[in-house]
Amino acid sequence: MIRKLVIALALCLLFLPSKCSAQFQNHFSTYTTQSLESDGITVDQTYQIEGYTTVQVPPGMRAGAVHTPHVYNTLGSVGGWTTGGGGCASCYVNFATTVSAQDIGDALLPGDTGGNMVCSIAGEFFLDPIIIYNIHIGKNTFVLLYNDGYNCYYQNYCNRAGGTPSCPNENGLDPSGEYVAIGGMDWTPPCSYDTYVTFKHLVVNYVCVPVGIIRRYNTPPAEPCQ
Amino acid sequence: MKSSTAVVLVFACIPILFLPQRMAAQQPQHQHVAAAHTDHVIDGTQHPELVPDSAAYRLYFVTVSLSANPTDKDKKVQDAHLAKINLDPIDKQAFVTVVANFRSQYDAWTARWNAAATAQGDSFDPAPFLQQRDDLVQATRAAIGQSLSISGVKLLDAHIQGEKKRMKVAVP
Repeated sequence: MIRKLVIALALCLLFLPSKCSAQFQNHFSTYTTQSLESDGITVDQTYQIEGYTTVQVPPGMRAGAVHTPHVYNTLGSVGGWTTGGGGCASCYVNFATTVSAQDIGDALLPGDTGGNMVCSIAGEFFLDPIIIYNIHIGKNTFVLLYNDGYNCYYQNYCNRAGGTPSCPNENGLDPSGEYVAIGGMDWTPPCSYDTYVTFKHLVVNYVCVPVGIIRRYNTPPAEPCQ
Repeated sequence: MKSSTAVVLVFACIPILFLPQRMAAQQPQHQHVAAAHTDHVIDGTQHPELVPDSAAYRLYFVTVSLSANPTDKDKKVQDAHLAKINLDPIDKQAFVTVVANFRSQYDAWTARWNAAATAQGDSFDPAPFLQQRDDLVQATRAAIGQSLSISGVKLLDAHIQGEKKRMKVAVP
């Protein structure tokens, strides 16, 4: 009978609930940034996910899970989901995507970024919810008033041309709407030839990126201010 | 208690114990605890002041640096990202060099981490690797201090401080 009891207990142990509750703790960081390329018409948006998971697996639990990053990155109709390379459960993840939208004109683009980490066994275990950014290119144009043989003195052109600049006060500009190009007569061609100057700024969520792209024209630009 | 009674009781427990086992079998083999992103991150969009400098610099370096064999497009994107700092051309080139060095070391470090994690499995201890990571960021910041002008260092720091509101950083 003792032998039977031992067998019965063994059977009980065999069928005990063996819920495998490994402990996972996420240490993932994310970063989204947008920029305007030097051509003044191409917007880039980069989304980065980086980090790791700490894992505590009970003895006897099946190992071998693969963790894979997924990134959602769109600018307007460009981009989408991208899957990075999978790694072991404790492996370090560094995955980024960049999407570019060209010649967006005066359009207001939605820029969406987010991501997650997916385990081959447990499914999604980390989520960075999608954030939507409003993105457009702001323009502010100035027209030459005069030069002193070295510096060039401009006046804001938006009042004459119509349109409201998104970024009226920025580097090189003062609140009165004037712009002084130090050494503008040494430009090639000089300011006396290119009498219009347009500053293009990336505007994200209605905040101007501090540094703009400068374009010069010798005739009024078609879209001087937005 | 007679031994025959004990046997009956033991066998009676089997169906009861078997039921949760079957239910557990339908669940994932392991469970991720506290998977919600907001539980373990500093949300820079809400509290940029809480994002540690070391994490912010690391994320920025990783994002703006180029991996091995970059394309022309990669270089244009890097140029666009760096243009926002408004560094003078000399400082900008110095920063590109420093951050390229960072990236090669960071990629090598990541490879070492993953090799160890794969080989050691559950017994993998990330602590020494995390220290190496922080040391690399610190060394890169020191290199920036030595390679860029004072105004360039200030411009870079001001930019990265501003970028914290675009970051979500894991709590150490």
